[in-house]
Amino acid sequence: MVSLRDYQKKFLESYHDESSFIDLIKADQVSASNRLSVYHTSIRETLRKALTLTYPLTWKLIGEECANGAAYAFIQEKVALPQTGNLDEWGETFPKFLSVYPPLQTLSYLPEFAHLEWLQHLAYNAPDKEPLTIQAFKGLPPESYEKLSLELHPSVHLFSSSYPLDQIFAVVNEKVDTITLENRKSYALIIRPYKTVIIHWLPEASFSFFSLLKKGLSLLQVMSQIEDETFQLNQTLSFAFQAGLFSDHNLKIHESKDFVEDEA
Amino acid sequence: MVNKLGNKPLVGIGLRTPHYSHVIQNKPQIGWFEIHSENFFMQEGNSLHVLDTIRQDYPLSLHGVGLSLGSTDELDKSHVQKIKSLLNRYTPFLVSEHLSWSKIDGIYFPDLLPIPYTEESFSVFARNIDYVQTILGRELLIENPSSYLEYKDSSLLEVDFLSNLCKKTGAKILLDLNNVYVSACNNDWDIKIYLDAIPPELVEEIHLAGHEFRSFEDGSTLRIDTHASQVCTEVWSLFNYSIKRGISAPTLIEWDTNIPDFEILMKEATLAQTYLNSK
Repeated sequence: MVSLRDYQKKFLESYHDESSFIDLIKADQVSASNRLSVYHTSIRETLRKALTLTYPLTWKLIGEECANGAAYAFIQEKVALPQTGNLDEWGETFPKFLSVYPPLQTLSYLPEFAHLEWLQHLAYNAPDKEPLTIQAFKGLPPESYEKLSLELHPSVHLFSSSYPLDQIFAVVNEKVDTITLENRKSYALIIRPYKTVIIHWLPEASFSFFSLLKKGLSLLQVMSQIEDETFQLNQTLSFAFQAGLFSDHNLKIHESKDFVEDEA
Repeated sequence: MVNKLGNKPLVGIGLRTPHYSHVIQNKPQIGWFEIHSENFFMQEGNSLHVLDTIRQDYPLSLHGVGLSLGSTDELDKSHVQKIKSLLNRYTPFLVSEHLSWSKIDGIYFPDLLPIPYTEESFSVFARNIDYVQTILGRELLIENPSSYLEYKDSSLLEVDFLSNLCKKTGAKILLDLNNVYVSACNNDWDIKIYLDAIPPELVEEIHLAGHEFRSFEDGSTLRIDTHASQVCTEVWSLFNYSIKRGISAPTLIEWDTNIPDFEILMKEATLAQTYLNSK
């Protein structure tokens, strides 16, 4: 008798057309292969549907037929199958697959566009945290500001692209009809401060500023690494508070570290 | 019991995203809602806030599709913990999973795959159910799946496998009558034998849903459990038959694909309640 583990291994193989699984199935007026195909079809459709829910703008950008074709090719790959029973956690590698999927090779911006959608998906499912307001800093003496470490909201993701994704998003979201794709980079900050996920398109220096903050550097350390002379700290912080980008701050750690250095 | 009106079980509806606003704004007269546990595994966010609001007015049932109780792989302990977190947050009156598997060598198939009904499978299921019930600190309900195939090596009837499993582990049965009908038609089972073998005292929930036909190129057909249509006449008859046999439990109207207006679901729920009240 075949062991249960072998049943399950053979089913996995059958998904890739490499198995004698149908020999285990009773057949009558309905063939074993037709019976098995119901499960294979159901799996593919569920996975395709999960991708459409995670990447709705990619579907809109390249059209349903083309996107479905890419999805079916993706989910036929062994490495693409979920390693979790929670499909909200699955699909991260779809953008990378798009970069090697031959029919879409001409759309060089597509993998990065799709990756940005994945980050939106992560932001949607991130933990809630009340954004800090400027009031949280009222008790701090101004001379301590530079020693502050500012914690970005847990839903924040930062992504720089080699392509003007802001232009492409504007078309997909029907904010403009047509575009002439510019030859430039784009810098996105994705956040869900409350219910809705928002993408902020940033200047390069602001993007660097928030990226360094996300690494846990103090305000002083961050500013020492920003070389762009046009960068306006006050303006950037004002934007950050309005957009709810900060969820916490920490003065003590950097104070004590700096204190030791000062004493030495 | 929160899920009963007097001594009559109440009917619930599967809660799906398109109906969130309607439910919150109109507070429809329905006994309870059932959610798919995995749809609420995120740490926070809008979906959980919506559910918090709905939970203030309705009892909830958690229905899982991803535990893979029939796998020879080790159970995903983090998955169980996420269910436990939902239990702590929503205090559901029922928690259910399926008589199926979906995970092998760390890979999950998002489907309810059939197991051979053998002594080995029985041991695997019993061990996994026992583990989950211990961690959750409460009983699980196990649902009979729709099946499109049977294995040559199965040595037990599904109904006996399920009933004995529940007797051994202390779990209860979620009797999906549409699944019984679909499986019986697809595998040439005698439906009456199946339903007569169910111990009524083990059934703690009933599911009702619609199904469709799929035709193959050679002209053969199977019934597919799509949850995309109204409950068919034959399944309503099975519901009536089950109630007359003493199988009476909170009953759910499931509709997961091509989801209609909430009023369509309410009509189905009202009909189901009429059956339950008629006993």
